[in-house]
Amino acid sequence: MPTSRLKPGETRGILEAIFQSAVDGIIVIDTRGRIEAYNPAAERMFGYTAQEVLGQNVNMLMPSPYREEHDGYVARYLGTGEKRIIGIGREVTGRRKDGTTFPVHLAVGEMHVEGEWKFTGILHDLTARVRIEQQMREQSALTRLGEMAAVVAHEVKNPLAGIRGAIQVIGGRLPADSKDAAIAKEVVSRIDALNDLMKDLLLFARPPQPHMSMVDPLSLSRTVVELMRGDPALHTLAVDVTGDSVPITADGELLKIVIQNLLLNAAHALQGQGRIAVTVSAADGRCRIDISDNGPGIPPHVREKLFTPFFTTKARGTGLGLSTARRLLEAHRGTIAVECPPGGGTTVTLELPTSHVA
Amino acid sequence: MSQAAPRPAGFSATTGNNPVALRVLVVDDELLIRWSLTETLTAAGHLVTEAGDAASTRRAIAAGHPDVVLLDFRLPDSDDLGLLASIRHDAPEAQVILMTAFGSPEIAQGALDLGAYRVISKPFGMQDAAALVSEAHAATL
Repeated sequence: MPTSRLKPGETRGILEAIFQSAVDGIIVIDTRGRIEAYNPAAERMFGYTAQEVLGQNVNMLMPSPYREEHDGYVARYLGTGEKRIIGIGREVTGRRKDGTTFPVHLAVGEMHVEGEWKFTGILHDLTARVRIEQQMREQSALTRLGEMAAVVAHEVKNPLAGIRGAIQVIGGRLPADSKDAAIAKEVVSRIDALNDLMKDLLLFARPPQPHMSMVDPLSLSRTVVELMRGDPALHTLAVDVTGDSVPITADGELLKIVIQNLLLNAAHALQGQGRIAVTVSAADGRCRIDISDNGPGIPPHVREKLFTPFFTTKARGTGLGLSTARRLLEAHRGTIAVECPPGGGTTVTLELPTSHVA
Repeated sequence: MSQAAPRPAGFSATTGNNPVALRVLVVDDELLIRWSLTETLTAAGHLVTEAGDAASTRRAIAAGHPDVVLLDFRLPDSDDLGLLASIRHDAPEAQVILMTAFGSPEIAQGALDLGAYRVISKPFGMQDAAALVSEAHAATL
């Protein structure tokens, strides 16, 4: 039955054009799995040119274990007529020339051509859809995390506050120089560390909605450094703020929290000795804030974990985790990165869009 | 007698003895918080009453207006600013300090708009609380 209103001579040309222009991959194989046709879309999808695949077994486009099993699938179908994918189609995994794998929907039709059976596979790349689904799952997981965080915060913070208060009172009644009094102080200190962790958890799970306004990171950094002047951690350090006024649209309070915590991190690394340099500059239409210290730097195996939520190398967690800092930066469409330049020390770089960007 | 309280950031504490014995109402559903505040404020010379929920708080206010109220935001029978509003209405001369575990800027602003003297987040130091009570009362003079 004709499936086309074209005359026989015209059909061939049109079908050839369809093959060449189709957005999905089209691959034809024989009963031995050898590739007989392979269209430009397939070339783009897999990275192999037609020359590289024609005549080869189609299992070269599959990762293990499917690669080893494919010949068996074809043989089983030819032997049993059992349709597992023929006429049905399903999601499979393809393997590109560079070795990476990707999800692809494969629909296979069978045909009888010049006395032989052949199979046509139509391949639809699912990479984008799978990525979006993954993002949606992550997003809903984060939403649930946010809801849970509020409950956890209340159920944990209140008892913690009560314990802290009670221990403080009882500790105050112990002889001032006694070991017990010192222990009571340590109990309070550990509770404060737990409370910091709670704060970090909350900030991570429910980043506050940024209230945007025009902000000058240079003067903001100066304000933060001034506010922290009394902080024992920064007391003996040299802290410089230099650079240009690069106006950005940001939540000043959140940015202050981030900078304050990065300064605390640098201060802890320096252990009372050294300098911290805060530099503000404009680069490629973005505002760049570098916070550098001349401390010992961060070993690579630690650096790769820095943005893991709640990861800390300190005996008691203080300040924000970098994962939370990153969340806050992302809420500003900004980025944060940590580097240990060859000259030594550590530099944390924040980048934010400037106000001029449309 | 009482040593000067250290001055942490965020509190402008008055130091030294405070000879004025204030009537303080401590409201929190957490027993340990009530206990530690009561102990601290009693040691500072004040007359302290406690309440663990909104209903008891209202009864305590009706029985006699306090000078200062330390009010926990979330109670078993109250999770909004309604209780604060009714305290401000029934005992307008009382200074109310709102305590919260979960800092929400909207709640804090709402409380201040209703006339709360200060909003503080838990946990806080006991000496800081005592100093704040004195400061809140001094602000009315």
